[in-house]
Amino acid sequence: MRRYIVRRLLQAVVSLFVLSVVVFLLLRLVPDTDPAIVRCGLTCTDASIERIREELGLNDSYLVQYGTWMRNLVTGSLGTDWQGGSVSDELQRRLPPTVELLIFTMLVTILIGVPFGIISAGYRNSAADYVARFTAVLGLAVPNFWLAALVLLIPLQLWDYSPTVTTTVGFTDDPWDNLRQIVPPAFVLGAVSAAGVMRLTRSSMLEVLGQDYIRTARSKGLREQVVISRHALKNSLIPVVTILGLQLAGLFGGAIVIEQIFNIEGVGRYFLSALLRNDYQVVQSLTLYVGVVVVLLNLFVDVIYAWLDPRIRYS
Amino acid sequence: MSAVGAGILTTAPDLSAPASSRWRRAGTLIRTNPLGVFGLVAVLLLVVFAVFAPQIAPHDPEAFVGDGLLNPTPEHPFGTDRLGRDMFSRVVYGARVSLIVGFSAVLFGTLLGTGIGIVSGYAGGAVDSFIQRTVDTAIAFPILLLLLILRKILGASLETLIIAVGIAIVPAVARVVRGAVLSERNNQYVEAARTLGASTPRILLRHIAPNVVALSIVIMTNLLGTAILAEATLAFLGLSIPDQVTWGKDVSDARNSFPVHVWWAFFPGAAITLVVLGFNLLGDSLRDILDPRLRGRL
Amino acid sequence: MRNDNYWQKFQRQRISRRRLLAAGGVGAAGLALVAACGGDDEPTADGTPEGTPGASGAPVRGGKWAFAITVDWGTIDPVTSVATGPQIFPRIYNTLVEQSRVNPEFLYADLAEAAPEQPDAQTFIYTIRQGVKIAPNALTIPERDLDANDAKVWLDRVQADETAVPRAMTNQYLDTYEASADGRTFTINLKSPYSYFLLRLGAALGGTIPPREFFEQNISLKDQGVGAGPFMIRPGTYQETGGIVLDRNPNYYRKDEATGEQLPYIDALEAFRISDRQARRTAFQSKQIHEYGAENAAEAAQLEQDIPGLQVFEEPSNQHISFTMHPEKAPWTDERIRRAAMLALDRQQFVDLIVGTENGKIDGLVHWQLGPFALPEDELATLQPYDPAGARELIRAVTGEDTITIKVMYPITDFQFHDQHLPIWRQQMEAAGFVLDVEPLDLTAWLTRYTQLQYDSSLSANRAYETAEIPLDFHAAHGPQGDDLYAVGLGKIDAEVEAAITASKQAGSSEEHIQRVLDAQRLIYQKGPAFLPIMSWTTFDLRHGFVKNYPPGIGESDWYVNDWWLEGQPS
Repeated sequence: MRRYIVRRLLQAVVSLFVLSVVVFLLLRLVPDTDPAIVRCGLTCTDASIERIREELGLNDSYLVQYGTWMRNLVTGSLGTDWQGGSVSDELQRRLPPTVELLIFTMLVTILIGVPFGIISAGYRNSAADYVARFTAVLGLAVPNFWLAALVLLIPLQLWDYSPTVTTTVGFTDDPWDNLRQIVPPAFVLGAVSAAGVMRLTRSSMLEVLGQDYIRTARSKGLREQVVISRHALKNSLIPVVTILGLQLAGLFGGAIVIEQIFNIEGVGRYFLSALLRNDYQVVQSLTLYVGVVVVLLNLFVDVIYAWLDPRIRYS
Repeated sequence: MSAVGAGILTTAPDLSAPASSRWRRAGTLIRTNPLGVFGLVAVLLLVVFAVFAPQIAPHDPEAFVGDGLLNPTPEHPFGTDRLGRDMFSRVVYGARVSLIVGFSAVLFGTLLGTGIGIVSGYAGGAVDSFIQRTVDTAIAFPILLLLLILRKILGASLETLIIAVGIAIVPAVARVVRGAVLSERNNQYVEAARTLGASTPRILLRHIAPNVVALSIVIMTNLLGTAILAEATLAFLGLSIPDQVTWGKDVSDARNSFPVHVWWAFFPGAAITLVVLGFNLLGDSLRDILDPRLRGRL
Repeated sequence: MRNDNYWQKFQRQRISRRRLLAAGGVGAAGLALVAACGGDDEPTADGTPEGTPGASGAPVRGGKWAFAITVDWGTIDPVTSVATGPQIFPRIYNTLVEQSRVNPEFLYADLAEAAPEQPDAQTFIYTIRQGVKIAPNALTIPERDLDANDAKVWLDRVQADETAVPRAMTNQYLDTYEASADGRTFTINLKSPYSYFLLRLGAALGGTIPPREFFEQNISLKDQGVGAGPFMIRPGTYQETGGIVLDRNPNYYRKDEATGEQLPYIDALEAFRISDRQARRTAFQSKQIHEYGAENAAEAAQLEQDIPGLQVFEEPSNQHISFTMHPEKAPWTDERIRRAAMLALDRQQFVDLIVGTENGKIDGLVHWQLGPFALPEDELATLQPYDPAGARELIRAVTGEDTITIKVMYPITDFQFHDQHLPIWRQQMEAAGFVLDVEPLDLTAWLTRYTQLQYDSSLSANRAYETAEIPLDFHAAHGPQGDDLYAVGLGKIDAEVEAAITASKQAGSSEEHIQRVLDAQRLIYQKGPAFLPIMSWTTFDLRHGFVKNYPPGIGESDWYVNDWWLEGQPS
């Protein structure tokens, strides 16, 4: 088991290295993406462009630029963005709301998806099952920015109410205001992924319920609820857990949209604006940052999976 | 019915059952599965709209044929947008982009992902590890960056969108397919076939491929919905196709005026919802039809 | 009486207003008077206010005014900032004298006591007001009175910094300037008469003056600052991609004329960064911000229904979308192709489809809201007709074929209807025989290429044209700032056009000024314009009912004025 983990860790490091190189090169090799020109702005002259290129280190060889980036990372600095601001500082400001958003989204996903999936499986083909499945798929089918707009606008039209959309309130500053601000968007994001989780839980539970050992448990006279909770639940949740890792990567994309609509100053919008203005440093650092999170998360999930199913370990 | 525990080669997965009994089963399932029928109808409607758009749409979707922002009227059953273009025609023509992007991207991505998943799952060992790590890296790579890069290289066109969405799909498909292949591979009947000396291609083709194909089909139908939603999200961010009618762009444009002019956004949004809903319900039903065992896989 | 020059006559017209402004305080009543005379009506003979919206009862002290900004600050250095900064510079710093672009009768004497004396058309003598005191601060700037030396050092800095905003004007016109020994008089000499001098020197964009210590001691103004304006920056609140908070300056010199209370009435201003329009409207409707610019009449009407007591201010926007052709790049080098693009434009369709006939009108080279400086509509109909068949003929004459392919870039932005202009424009161009090779760009990338002329042709996003100078300058050889940015004008390739444009800025009298501006336009039409404004519209500024005495009709000058208050604002 330990060897498996170590092996996977090493592979993760290699993955991240490859990711960093790919992003690094792609940004620079694609035509028409010189950040110096974008930053130079309105009063640009050739001399200014040269000056900015020097400042951003763009005239150094790729190897040197990559080396500088890596060296910065090791010393804990994520570099400077196009205006000379510190990326780490910006991230420090922007990570908390995004992380909070994602945590609440996962909470919503799990708290809604799993129970409904279980109910749907347990009372299969009943009216409750159909309603749950239909609602789940409906949640999947509506564009998330549309749902977000409704969530924002309906209370406004009815009660003139809206959560704070002017600034991003920190949890430590004003917990109630912060929750008011984060929970509705988390609900929107979570509703979409909850649907997927619900269906997966349902189908997974259905398969497990069809297994021999469940039939045995039932024939022993155990109540259905005990059958489900004690025997079926754990096994049926395995695939669900593996999916959650993939979901998280997809949620980043959703976060960009949601942050824009609710005016939350998070990592998603930061990344998008950096992309649009060819801010190399921010894009590559953020990609690596997110990459680390995603890779580690998948590693964690795989380890759990391997622990539960030894056959996987040795494949 | 799981073959594990049976240990007999003839206990094959349901897909090897005679075709006629499968059709009979299918018929029964359709009757008992109204949601799937609903999904099928929605999908067929999409295809009809897309293919016969010039015949169905009363107006050129780009022509300014009426006053702006009209509520639905007999002449404009879906109303008009801000510039006075007929929304019904725009929804009909928008089906084309949804269909093309959806099918092309998903087909491309699923084929590629399935191929990778099969190779990775069946080969095992170092090959599997290598591919899996690459897939991990690919998952961590931001799709938006990929799209922007593609746009710069290929221009902001339909092809760019298809390639970007297709590539975005590959890792997830590869992972799921690999998982399926892994558990199939370790099934006893496969082991038995191997012991009996069956070659790799034969094993792949007769035992593993059928299940994987079924799996892929189900995945594809679900992903079609995802692809259409992806276009909508990109339209929201201003990164959709500039010179074609798309549902995503219309919904996005209409969003800002939503509380003031309700109908403009409603119909393209309903179209997206209906079609994605349809694909998902259809996918669910297909899964039920093709192999009950697959329910555990997805 | 000798022949008055333009300036003397102009000044005489303003004397009755000057009295109000020069007395050291613009109280509620005084401002109402000025505001009531806004717009393009003749100023009323007597000064009776005409029911200025909001002005009612006694001012209420306190409260925080919240507003939204839509783009990053970039920098809050008043000398170099071109983005959102100008909204707050008049609130932190001071200008000598500010003139409203929308209503030239409105003058706001700030650091100067009154409008400058002008012994001749090229000399401006400002008498500096006493008591304009710098706010308390932690930036080691002493809390002293500003004087003429601050203005002098400021202009020194403008001369030295190639990115300084006022350079656009000073490069071409500034001759000498000096501060008197006692710091009470500041004199500026121009190289030649310049009709727009007063307006540009006092503008929020580049005309506000920080204390000279910033320049003498090289203290950065990029993300901090302090001045002698009505407000001061609250430390720690400025965020380059966020907002800012300004508190009342306890040293501010202005007092309410009637009551002697120190201005401003409100305690603080807060800016929030909200780039999404829906989020902005939501914030406005839920009273998180107090001001909102509606997209069009329908939105304004809807909000009027939803929000009781809403105040709606209609003002000319002075912004329009335009199509620019680079006259030094094929096929735009041929005047006939340029003319074909002009004939392809059905400007009325833009008006009808986008803003509605009652809210907008077509533009000539100088937009309609500039009154006498714009060509009359019937003349425009002959100079820039809608004639797609004629366009096709021209194309055939030049290329021998029915169509011609052109490359166009445009910014992807939902700012000011731009995304709606595009589909209409495309159809019109295609109907006239142009095949479009379109290149959409994100706003920053587009703006960079636009300023540096790296394009064949472009639809431009909204531009603000406050006076007749700038739209004409888009045809000038060195661009509207004289520094070759944006410079795709005909003046580059045609000396006659260049001469006409220069002449239009150096008129002696107002009649001559108007005539020269009109003649320059006619000449450009003759030569086939390379810069085509399409239409301008009215904006709808919405404010909640509890905002009292906010001055309408003076455009951006309201940033300088701080006599308004909040009454019954929800907590």
